[in-house]
Amino acid sequence: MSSFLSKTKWIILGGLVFGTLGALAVNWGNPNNMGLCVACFLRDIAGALQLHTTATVQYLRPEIFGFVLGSFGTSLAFREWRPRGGSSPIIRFLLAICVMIGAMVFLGCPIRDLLRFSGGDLSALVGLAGLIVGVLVGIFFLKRGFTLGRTTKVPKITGLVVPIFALVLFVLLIIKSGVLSFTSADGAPGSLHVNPWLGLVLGLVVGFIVQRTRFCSVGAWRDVFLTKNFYLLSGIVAFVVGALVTNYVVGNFGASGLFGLNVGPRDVVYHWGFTKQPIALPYADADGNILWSQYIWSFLSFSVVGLGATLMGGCPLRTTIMAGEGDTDAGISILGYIAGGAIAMNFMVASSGAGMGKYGTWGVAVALVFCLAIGFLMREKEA
Amino acid sequence: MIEVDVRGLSCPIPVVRAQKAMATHPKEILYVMVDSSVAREHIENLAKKGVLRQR
Repeated sequence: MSSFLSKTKWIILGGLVFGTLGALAVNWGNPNNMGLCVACFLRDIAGALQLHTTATVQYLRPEIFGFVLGSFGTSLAFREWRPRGGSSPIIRFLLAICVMIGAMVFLGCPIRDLLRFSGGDLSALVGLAGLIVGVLVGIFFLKRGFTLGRTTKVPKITGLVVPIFALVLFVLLIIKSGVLSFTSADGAPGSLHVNPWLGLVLGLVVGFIVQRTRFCSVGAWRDVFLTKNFYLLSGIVAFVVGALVTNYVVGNFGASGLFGLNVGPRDVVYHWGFTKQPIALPYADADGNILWSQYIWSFLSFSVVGLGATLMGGCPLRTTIMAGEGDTDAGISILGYIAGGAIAMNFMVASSGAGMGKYGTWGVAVALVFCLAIGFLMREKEA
Repeated sequence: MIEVDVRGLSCPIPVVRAQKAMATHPKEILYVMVDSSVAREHIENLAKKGVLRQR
């Protein structure tokens, strides 16, 4: 028990720091309630590389490179860097596309879901409920013997691919390479970003925290239901407390905050409620009318995220961390997320602040059926 | 002694396998082979809980 307490102390501290940074990143330049969002940022990266051409969401987000490189450095330092792979990469690629489609319909990864709640967006709770249901379905499959197969050791250079890729893309960002497309319209999500170096440092710090504490926004719920282990969940709770307190203290909920602090160039005003929240469903028209089905699709899209991520062994953030640790299957999953981001934008599956995409419902339905099929079909008889 | 080889399996499958083995062989000593520190931590936690529950 004492070792649980001492470990839990660290993840609570890590969660508080992570949540605080996630809230502050908005004041420092990132979009509202999107200080850190792995899904949104990978979609923006897909746009910067012209895998999709939705002009409002194109930017090479340095935070992602920080996650990968922070985890890479930390795992090297703690002798946990282990190049490995070969556990159904193509299934993982497709599952990652499904998770991304869910995240693009909901508008955020599970980390952003927590940040949305911490910024007053109560519709985040609909997503959280969906996520938990998805995790429970995932646990059902796990107990049935679901597995994507064993990994094996791979050559060192293979494990270096993702960190090198992250480094190269960061250099392209710093030299403002002409091969990249960036959002130019003022006020669009892609135009809102922190200084690239600050973004990298934010990512490195979070990468260190998550690598050391094993923080995972999907694993937290999985462990609660699977093994009654509340270690990861305590990190999630700390994250929300950190973000919520920070938003109040720095005045993001209006007034001048508790101490009149001015923490960044952007003024942010959040409010509690289900509608008129930054870049989130449900969309409400000028009279405040909403289509109620948006709640159902928010719930279902995040069920896909919960289920898919449970089958893959971690949330999108955790995936970037595992890729940094040398897990090449996680590297494939990142490519799947990027492909999923492109698919969601190109095929009008993704939602936006103006409501659901034309084919959002189809996207979620196909992704859900695929994840369920994989859950049923991929099982190994135990020895 | 029951051997459970969970090397190469990704989280949380090592824990699921260990949990199943604990349930089917409650009186036996389990020997779980892991190859990642995450899986090791997870299974250590599980083992400690198991001991507490048996008492």
